[in-house]
Amino acid sequence: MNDRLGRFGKRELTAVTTLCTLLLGCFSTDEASQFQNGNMLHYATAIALLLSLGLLELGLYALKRAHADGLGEWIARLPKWIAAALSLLLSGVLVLSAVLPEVRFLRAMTDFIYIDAAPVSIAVYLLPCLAVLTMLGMETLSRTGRVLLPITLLAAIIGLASDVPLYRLYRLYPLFTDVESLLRQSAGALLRFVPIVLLLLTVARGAQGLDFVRSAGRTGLLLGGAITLLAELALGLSYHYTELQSLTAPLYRLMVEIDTDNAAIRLDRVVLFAWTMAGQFAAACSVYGASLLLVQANGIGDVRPIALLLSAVTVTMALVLREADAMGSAILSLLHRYGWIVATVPTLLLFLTARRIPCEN
Amino acid sequence: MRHSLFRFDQPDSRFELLENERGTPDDPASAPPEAVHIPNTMPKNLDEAERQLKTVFRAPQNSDLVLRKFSIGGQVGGLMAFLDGMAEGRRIDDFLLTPALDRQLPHPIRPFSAEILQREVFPLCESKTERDFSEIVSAITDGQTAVFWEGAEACLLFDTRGYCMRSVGEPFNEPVVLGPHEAFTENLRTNLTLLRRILRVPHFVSELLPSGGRNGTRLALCYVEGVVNRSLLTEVKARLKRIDTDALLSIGAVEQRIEDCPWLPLPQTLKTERPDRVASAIADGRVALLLEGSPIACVLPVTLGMLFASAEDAAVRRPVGTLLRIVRGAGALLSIWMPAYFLALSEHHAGQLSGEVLSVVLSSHIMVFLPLPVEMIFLLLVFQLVREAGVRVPGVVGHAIGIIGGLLLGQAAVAAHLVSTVVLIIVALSGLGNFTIPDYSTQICVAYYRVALCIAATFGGFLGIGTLSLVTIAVLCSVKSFGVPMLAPFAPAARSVRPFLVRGRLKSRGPQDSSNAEGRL
Repeated sequence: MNDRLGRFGKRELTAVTTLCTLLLGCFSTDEASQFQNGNMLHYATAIALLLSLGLLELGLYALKRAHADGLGEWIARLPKWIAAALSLLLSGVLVLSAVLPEVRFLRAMTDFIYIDAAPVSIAVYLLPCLAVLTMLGMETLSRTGRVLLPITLLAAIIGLASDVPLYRLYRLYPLFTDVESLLRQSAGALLRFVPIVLLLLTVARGAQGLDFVRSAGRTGLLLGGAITLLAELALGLSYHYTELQSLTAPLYRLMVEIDTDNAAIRLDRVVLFAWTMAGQFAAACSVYGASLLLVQANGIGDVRPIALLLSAVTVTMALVLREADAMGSAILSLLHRYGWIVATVPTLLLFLTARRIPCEN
Repeated sequence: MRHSLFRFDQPDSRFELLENERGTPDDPASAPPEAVHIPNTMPKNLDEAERQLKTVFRAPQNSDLVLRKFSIGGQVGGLMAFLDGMAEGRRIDDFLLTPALDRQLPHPIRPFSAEILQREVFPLCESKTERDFSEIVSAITDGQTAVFWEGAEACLLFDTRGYCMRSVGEPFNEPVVLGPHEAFTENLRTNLTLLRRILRVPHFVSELLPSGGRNGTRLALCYVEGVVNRSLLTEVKARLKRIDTDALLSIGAVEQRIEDCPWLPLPQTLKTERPDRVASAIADGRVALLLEGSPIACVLPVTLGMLFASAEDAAVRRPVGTLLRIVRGAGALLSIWMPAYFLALSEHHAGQLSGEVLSVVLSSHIMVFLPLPVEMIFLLLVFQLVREAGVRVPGVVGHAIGIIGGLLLGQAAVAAHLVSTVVLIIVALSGLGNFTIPDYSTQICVAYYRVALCIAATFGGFLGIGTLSLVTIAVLCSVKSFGVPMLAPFAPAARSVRPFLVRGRLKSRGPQDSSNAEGRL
């Protein structure tokens, strides 16, 4: 089987996890719902991160007990139609996790940078990049992640540090309103991190053992989550929560706000494009994970055609959601509100019913 | 030959080489000669040996073959064969012909064996016995002298190679201030000696292999036994064995036939003319290839860090070495991204520039009729033109071309409003940055990659640059040089005392992970 998984080390997988956590954490948020009840997003993100870490531990335990190398191989042991349905569902979740930041970047570019450009003309650049990255496979993606991580962290540091003069502590008010909203928001935030857990479990075979996946997953989720929390804190310190409900690309807006009239060259767009490239990378990881899951669970011989197809589906979905304004917003809102159920419940059920899946000795 | 253009009464009698012009030539003289079969067995006597040698070397048309009959010790007839120019005549006269004719053996010796001749007659240290006639022919083409004698079942081969060659000189392309000033020559034996002088260990091996070219050039595969990874060695030998071509004249031709991705513009082996660099790589567990007639060695596997490293890095103190690497890295980054970044700013993201900078750019471009992207790409290509012309023409004129191209042409182009000063400065800075890359092949690759980035920037601004850069990084991450990822030891992470930017301590120097060496020197 040509699954283009290859072999990669702990540091590469940590870089991939950190980048995906950071990108999905910062750019898959639905500000309208997450900032509805004050600045509770920080708590929600932290709780979702901890729950995702728990899900990772559970998944690794289930895989270890089943003597399975990865999620796809494990699902393949299920009856054929269940394996097909489950792999389709989980691949859908991974593709969705690629679509959400793509929509965000498309919107940021058409709203702020290429104002006269149609979203299709932006997608012309995104699709080949996504397709090439996805088809090159996980070994290449893991190494690319290691190259991109310092650049993205630098962009994040520049972005957040340059806004320090704008931060005001009073804007964080109110930090907490009620438990019910917190639980709802935390569940919604799961959609941002559960796909990363799925990706880690899917590519586990390439990471030379489940212990490496556990270590890389923990480090990556915590590091990426910490920077995500910092970014959210920076947003909370810069804007009132009522403003944040309606901002399109708050992190970019934050950079534009800086008074750099005296500077010879501004860096906000460079930083945005560094984020965009990292976003493309995170999307490629998700799409590759989805393709690998489908290939392994259904015994398909080559991952590349599936990867190409899913790349096209991802960019097309992002375009459709960007173009169809009212309907797109409604669908996005629905996905943000209830997508976590689709992502979490089947995964949890799968791990909890692990005993019933035949083991391979 | 009289031209028959206006002579209608005569057939066209111009010489035609191609068969398809007038069909197969019916002249028996132009029929292809029969292929000469070179037997493996020894000729039965001297006459047959002479006849076979004349047939194989196409004598008497080929005047290079010298066949000389003589008497050995006044007892038995002998025949020596060598190629004029490849073998050293004085050596043959002094150590082969004179002793054979002058020395009177005290008693009749029957039978005459090779050992007796080596011991009693010919005072030359490098000699060997050969029974395979095809090997004898091959040795003669290499400059050795073959000696046959009556009744022998073998022949003696003497190393009399003495053809003209360039002496060891200074490296032209990789000069350094503090390092050694020796470079390889076209002579394989000299090059191996240069390496052996640095690597004075008994387990340094230089295997002489057929290069795979039918012109018979020899190829040396150099490594240190016990340090080199054996699977790497097996793989290199297997790839070399697959080479089958008419003439193999340069090490670059060998490299292209054995590398992993021939379609990638970036070199996947290090080509260097410096013996110290090759010796350092071999000591790290790498393999070097040297070809007869090529003053360049090919080191493999390599990483991108090696392509950006200079021979001088180890010769300077650690902080200075690190600083030099940072400057070199900054120069390369400047060279790659600066023109494209400027184009993206001026074409798509002018708001990122302050009013002053923007006004400077606009005012310098106001009289220029070419659009900015065309102007930039045109200047980048002109820069390459000047550089290529400077390389191809002889030394002194080459410098003059650089000055003419750089100063006069640039000044004239600005005065004629063909290009703007800002673009000229950016291209010059980018070109300067390009020259900080130590490896010539990488320089060329970067020079054309920046044109591709400029085109991407023209169409897509930062999005175009970002997309192309991301794809390039991913492709670089996927490429391997003989099983070693190009971006090692950074991606994938590996232990290394010589990472990309920070130069490691010399005292802890040992084989790097990326070469997967099996031991230390």
